[in-house]
Amino acid sequence: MRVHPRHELDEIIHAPVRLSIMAALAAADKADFRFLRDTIEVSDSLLSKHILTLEEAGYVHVEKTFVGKRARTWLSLTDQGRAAFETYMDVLRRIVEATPRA
Amino acid sequence: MTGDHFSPDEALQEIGRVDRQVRHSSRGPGRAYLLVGLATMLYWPAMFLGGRPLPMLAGVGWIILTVALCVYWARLRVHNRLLKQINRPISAAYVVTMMVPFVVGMCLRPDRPDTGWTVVLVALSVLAGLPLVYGGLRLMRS
Repeated sequence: MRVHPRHELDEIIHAPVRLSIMAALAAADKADFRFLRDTIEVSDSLLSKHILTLEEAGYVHVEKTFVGKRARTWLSLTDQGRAAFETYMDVLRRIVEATPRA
Repeated sequence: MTGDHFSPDEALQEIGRVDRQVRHSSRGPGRAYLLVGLATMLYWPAMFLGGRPLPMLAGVGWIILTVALCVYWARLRVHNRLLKQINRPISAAYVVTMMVPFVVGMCLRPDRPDTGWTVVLVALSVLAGLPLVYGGLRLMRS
């Protein structure tokens, strides 16, 4: 039987780049693609790949807008994504609290 | 980091780091609210109490401020959750409080404003800017 809380960690969120994306969007209402790229310090292609994974999981909403001829991509958490991130945070805290300190 | 995953401690640290960075970037709108709120407190006294060319300068300054804010808003790269929550009520309150010194100044201004009228107009101008000052301070503290 798997009882350790680490088994409850959402694997979609727990990958480093996706965790940073989720954390940034959890703190914001919406964020622009370039802001995320600069904050997380990843390439456009890597960020796009992870956003696609999160979008397919239903965690992230992607919205493309135009300012004149320039396209802007806005990202936000869906309700499902926000709930998943809150659950993920609860599990993390439980793991950290249960870990004996050296 | 173990392999391609964070340890729980590292994950919490990364969440904290990103959260601080997003919150830091969200303080800009707070400063903008504060700036417009304080400018409002000066704008109406300049318009209704100032001698020439102060009203004209205040009007031009207001146009420049409005254009600068529109450009700033369009270039904003992250929108704070608190900003979304408070934007509507603060904007609605601001429209109402802005109308008061405008109406009083346009309709009730005496030819020779006395001290009492001046005090009332200054007080209404301060009141007009208060919603944005309040919103700005809340955003900057978040």
